Amino acid sequence: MNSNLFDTLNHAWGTIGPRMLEACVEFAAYVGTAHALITFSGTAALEATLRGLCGDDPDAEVIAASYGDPRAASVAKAIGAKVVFADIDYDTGMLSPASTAKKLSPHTKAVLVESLGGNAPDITALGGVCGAEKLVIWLPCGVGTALSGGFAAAVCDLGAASAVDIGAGALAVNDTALFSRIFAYHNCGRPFGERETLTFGNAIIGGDLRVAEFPCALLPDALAQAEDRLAARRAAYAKAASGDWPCAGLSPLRQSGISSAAELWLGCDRIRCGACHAPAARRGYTVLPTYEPLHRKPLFGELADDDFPNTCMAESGYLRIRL
Amino acid sequence: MGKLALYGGKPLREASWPSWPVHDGTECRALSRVYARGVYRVGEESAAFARQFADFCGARYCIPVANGTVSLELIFRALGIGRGDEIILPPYTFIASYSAIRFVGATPVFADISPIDYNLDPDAVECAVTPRTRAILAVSVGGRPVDYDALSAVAEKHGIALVGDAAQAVGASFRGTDVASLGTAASISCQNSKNLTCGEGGIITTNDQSLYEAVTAMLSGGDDTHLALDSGITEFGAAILSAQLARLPAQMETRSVNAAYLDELLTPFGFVAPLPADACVTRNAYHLYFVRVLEDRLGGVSRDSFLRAVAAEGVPISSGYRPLYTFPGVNEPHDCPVADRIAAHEASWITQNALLSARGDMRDIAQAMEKVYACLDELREGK
Repeated sequence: MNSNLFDTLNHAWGTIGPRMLEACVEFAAYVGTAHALITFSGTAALEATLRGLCGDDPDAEVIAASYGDPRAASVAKAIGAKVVFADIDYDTGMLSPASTAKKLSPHTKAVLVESLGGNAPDITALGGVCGAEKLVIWLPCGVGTALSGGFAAAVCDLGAASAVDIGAGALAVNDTALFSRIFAYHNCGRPFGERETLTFGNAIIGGDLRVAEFPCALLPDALAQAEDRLAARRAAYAKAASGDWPCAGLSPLRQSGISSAAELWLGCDRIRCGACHAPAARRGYTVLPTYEPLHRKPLFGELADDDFPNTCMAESGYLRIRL
Repeated sequence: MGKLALYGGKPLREASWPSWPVHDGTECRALSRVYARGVYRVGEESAAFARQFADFCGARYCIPVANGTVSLELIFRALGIGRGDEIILPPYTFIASYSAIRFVGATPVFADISPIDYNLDPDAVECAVTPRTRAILAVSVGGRPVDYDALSAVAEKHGIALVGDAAQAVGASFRGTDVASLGTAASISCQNSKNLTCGEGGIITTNDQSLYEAVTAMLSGGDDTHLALDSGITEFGAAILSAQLARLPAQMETRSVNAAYLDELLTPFGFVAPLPADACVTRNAYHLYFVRVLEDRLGGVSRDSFLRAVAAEGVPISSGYRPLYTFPGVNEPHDCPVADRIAAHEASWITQNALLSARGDMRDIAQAMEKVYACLDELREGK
């Protein structure tokens, strides 16, 4: 059993407790950034990050991929930003630098780059387009994805899909001023170090994105086991990716570095050929549902397909396999 | 009576007050269960607690969530409230009541509070309603229920929602009905200090099926019209709440009995007073026990000086909230003279864990106040 977890019962159980503060330091050391923050979920971490970048600007725009986990664009909309969709590159399934360049405006405060299935995005190319200080890397499959290049923040879901599962979320940043804003937004407006005062003296109106102590107590053990879990995942990925697929057009999506290998995403160059899904399932793979194009959803304004040709191809051309 | 502890005298009370949260092997077993299962986000424990709490409060639907701030945000989003909409709230509350409104893009509108219970004044609410008003956020401050009769009438008259901010009012009832099953929906906080706690957690309750379905859709990955937000409670939180819920009725009874005794002790004093009773309030949760400090009876000593001296005697008392519109970053117009006066000159509170103490310990609270009152000259002269 985890003695750290049970020992937590003997202290305060929440609101910036000692386990949470220790976990933040440990996570920053693990990912190699100056600061980290553990929150109650991955979307909570994303919300704190986007609020830190967008502030209270009513005209703030956040660029997000039109294909992927709907939570990223949801959070951008939830904070009141205008969600501007850019297309993906079909061979990576991730945000296209070229499409992103077309969507930039003076109001762009953040560019959300999702790691599809744990795949490593091309951060360098995207940073070259929009500036590293706007890049938010969204890692819905948790830790282990190579992040080569500068970025404003990396945000992880530390849930069941992650090699580090504590039922929480985390963000990692280097910029101290940004971290201070993020911390205040996540802690009811209180700056770092002011735990429970009722008078804040801080112009930031914050929410509550705090994590309880219990998940944080699990982090040391989870981090210690992470490399073994990632190695096992990567071995499974390599085996599956080299599989003898029945459709000749099928190949793993391209990525720009080491993956967390949570899922295997494959793209078919014979769109709608129909030869991929059933044989994969017959070979014992768990085929997961792929995403619906986000730009078409009423929630995001039901945009026409014209700007999103690769997303439309992905709708029927991708195969997603759980490892 | 002796010299004031504030100036080096012996404190009237040196013993500690009950620690909080209360726990034993039940909570330990709850954590073990979750750890052994290895599922840490919304799962069996969350579903089980939802059923238990719905039974406890009598609401049709119960959704455990990450905390008592996102619960408000989820309720507002489920009601379709956003930019351009107004929500009326009291200024005498925690910042979360305000931030939740701002965070969904709506405009907070302050209405003054009543000097009787420090909750929203229904007449002030009526005056604050505009064509853009979508909801009243009825905060049951300290755990004493708002006037649901009057506020429901205002809400019904204008066709707007009545959302209960019962962050501090778990288990409280109005005319015999639990506040969690009153109004359009209610939000409860399970943060570390609260009467029902898991460190960080919250609960949404409602009898409205469409609101329940909208919140559930947001927590379950979203859909074509609902955002996808992972704001559910952890399995650890839900398991701990189940254990804590079993303790709650007995703790509520202890708080009520001790609060009644404290009322009895303080009423004759004439320089402090409990809040007046209201027959419609059939259960006060007493997350905070409010003491009115009658500053004009203190011979020129301010409420704050009086409270500092009482606290130094070993009583967990403080002056409470300041109006939200005095915070940097809160820029909405306001005209709330009652909230201004109460926050600056009258209110004080004792936290709920002190009410879990033995009956005799309530006498320490009263005697500390008597001691300080007897030493007002010393306090006035600052020695």
